[in-house]
Amino acid sequence: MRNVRNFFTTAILAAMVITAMCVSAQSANSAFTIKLGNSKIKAQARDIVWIEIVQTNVSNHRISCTYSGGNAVNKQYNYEVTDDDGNPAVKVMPSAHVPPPGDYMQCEIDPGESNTNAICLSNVFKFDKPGNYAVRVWRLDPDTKDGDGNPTRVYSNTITITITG
Amino acid sequence: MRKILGNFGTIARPFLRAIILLPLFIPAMCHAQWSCPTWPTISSVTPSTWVAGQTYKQVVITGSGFKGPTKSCNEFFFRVTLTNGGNVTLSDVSTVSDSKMTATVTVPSSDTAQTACVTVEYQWWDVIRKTASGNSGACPPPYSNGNGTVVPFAVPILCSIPSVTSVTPDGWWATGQPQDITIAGSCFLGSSDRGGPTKVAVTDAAGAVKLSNINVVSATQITASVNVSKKAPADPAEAATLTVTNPTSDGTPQSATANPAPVVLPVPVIKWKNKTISGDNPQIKNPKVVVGQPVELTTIPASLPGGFTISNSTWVVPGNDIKSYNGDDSGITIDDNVDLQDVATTFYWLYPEPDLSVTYNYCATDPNGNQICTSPQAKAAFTAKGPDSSNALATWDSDEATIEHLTNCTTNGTAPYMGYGDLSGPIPDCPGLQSGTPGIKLTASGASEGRYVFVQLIDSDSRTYTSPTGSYTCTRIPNLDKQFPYPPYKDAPNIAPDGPEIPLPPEYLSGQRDFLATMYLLWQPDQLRGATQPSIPVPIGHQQWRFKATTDQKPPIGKEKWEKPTLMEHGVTDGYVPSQATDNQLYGYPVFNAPSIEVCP
Repeated sequence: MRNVRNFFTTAILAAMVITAMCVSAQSANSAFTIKLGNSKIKAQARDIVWIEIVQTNVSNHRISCTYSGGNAVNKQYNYEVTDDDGNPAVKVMPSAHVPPPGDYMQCEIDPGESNTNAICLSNVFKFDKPGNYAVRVWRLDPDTKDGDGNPTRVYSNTITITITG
Repeated sequence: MRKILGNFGTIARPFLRAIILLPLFIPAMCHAQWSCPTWPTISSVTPSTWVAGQTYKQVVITGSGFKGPTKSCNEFFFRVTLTNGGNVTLSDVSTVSDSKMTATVTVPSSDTAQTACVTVEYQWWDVIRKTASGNSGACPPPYSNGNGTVVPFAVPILCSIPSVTSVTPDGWWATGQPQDITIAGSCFLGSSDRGGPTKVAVTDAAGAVKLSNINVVSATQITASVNVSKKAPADPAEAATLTVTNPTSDGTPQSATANPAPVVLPVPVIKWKNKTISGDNPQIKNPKVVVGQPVELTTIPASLPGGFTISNSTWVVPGNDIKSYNGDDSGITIDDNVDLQDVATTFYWLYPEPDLSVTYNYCATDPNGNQICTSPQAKAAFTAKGPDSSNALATWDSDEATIEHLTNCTTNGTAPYMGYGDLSGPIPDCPGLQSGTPGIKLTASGASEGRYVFVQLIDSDSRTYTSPTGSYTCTRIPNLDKQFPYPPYKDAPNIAPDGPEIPLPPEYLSGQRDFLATMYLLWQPDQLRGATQPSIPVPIGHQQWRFKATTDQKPPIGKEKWEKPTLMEHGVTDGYVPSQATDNQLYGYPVFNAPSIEVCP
């Protein structure tokens, strides 16, 4: 029984290390970086919560900073929010009667330049319960591929949103 | 015995009585026959004031009783003394008449601010009689010497070493114009004083200061006019030395210097890019600046010597000027509280305008805290230029709304969208760039340098879908469209395209978009060489435009076959409008505070 437990523990640790290496490797060669501003955000339950995403071109060529979607949410980014227990935060239910917006705005940035988006995160996740929420975002980098030939994910730093009652 | 004595007494008694009474008769006899002296009096002494350090060859004492007894009173004599508590000496005393005496008086330099107390006395029968009347002034009060009351005659002794307690004003503007000054102090000699009047001199390293119209008003005040040439050095400014001088009998002048020393206050000069732009001979006449570039102005003098400080600098900057600008997704903020009370100022003009006369003046505060606030004004007339007088925002309209079949990266299929223009590429949920023809292009023109900055604000925007259960509309709250700034084409940075789209899910019968937005055009000039502050975007103009279209799904519902959209409204709603500072509280900048969000049922 102990051997089985040790096996699983070792396997989990190995998976975490591999994952970390993969993430690190993806970010290391990416054409851009993503940084979330305001490392600590405080708001009250059901407030509108904004985050700031800064995408910086660290390559030697022009890259995309395209904005698509709407309602102050750029769908070119994927948003990961977990609560105090590490569980994914509850997503906002879209309108039952109207589909999500689908606007598109082309955007490109030259090497060394940055593009900033203010994102209304409370349009994506519910922040109606007090607690600390960890937030990070990622965006696909079409210029770099993973081992399967898919665009790599470029992750941001993680910030904390503290919701008070 | 009684008889003998009685006879003798009868004979001797009259003699004895005479002897006893004789002393009583003598004074009466002297007075009657020898003009026995009265108590002397002094009615005046000339000169009436003496100055320390001076020798007066013939002081005249006028009064009475100076001769005293003239007959058989040889034992009678005169003495003349001075009492001042110091060392005034007399010589060559002469009694000219019963009412006039003369003497030479020497007053030591040390006898300042005192009083000489003059008395005339003589001795008669060992009784000293002194001045019995006169002007006691500041002398000791009258006193009795046993034979009468002695009253000294007061002669003021004036000081000889002048002092300067203040010069008002003690800062002199280098205008080339006369300025009245007042010197306060002591021991100033007037024209009627021996050796007077007190002399006043001013020296400065540049020889720019001239003094005239010197007038000794009193022993404590002198007035004069001072004239400082415009060529007086301005940076660094200079101090001047003001000296008042009294002569002495031995030829050695007694002087005092004003402390703190007066300071030459330069006429202020405005400098831009280290060049003089104000005054009679500016290095740059009518300087031209560009809106959005920092106007960094400094002044001369930057400081003052002698403990003087520059205080209460005052700038006047006309036009629409701001101190700083910041813009991001949360809005544009400006600070129009330009610092106008320092020796330097930095600001931005936002709109082109000629004849922008900037002025500057300052106050100087001396070491005693006295403020001199009559600075001449430095003035420089700027011209603020825009990128070009023909700046405009032209609009190209595709005149079409289409059903766009965009690629779904998840299903590898396509999804229908209704859009303004005709775009292809991935759906918004997928990465990648769309291409094709946008519905509208807003093209800025007129600037040969700098860069354009676009900002689009949502005026109104609604998406209406009809499903078998009803018609539903999402409405956007007017605010910023997506992000600040709105990105133009990278290879054509004067063109901002847009083509609003809506997805057309298969369950809906129809879809409609009614989009109304205003594109603001800002222009940011190139960085000004040598400037410490960056250039900022300035408002240029704005153009409102609209897109309204609708489409119906062809039956049967769910097959995602949509009718060609009906273009109901499109393109500009009105003409291009140049921005004005009076457009709003932000001097014509677009007003927003966040990206627009949507409210749905």
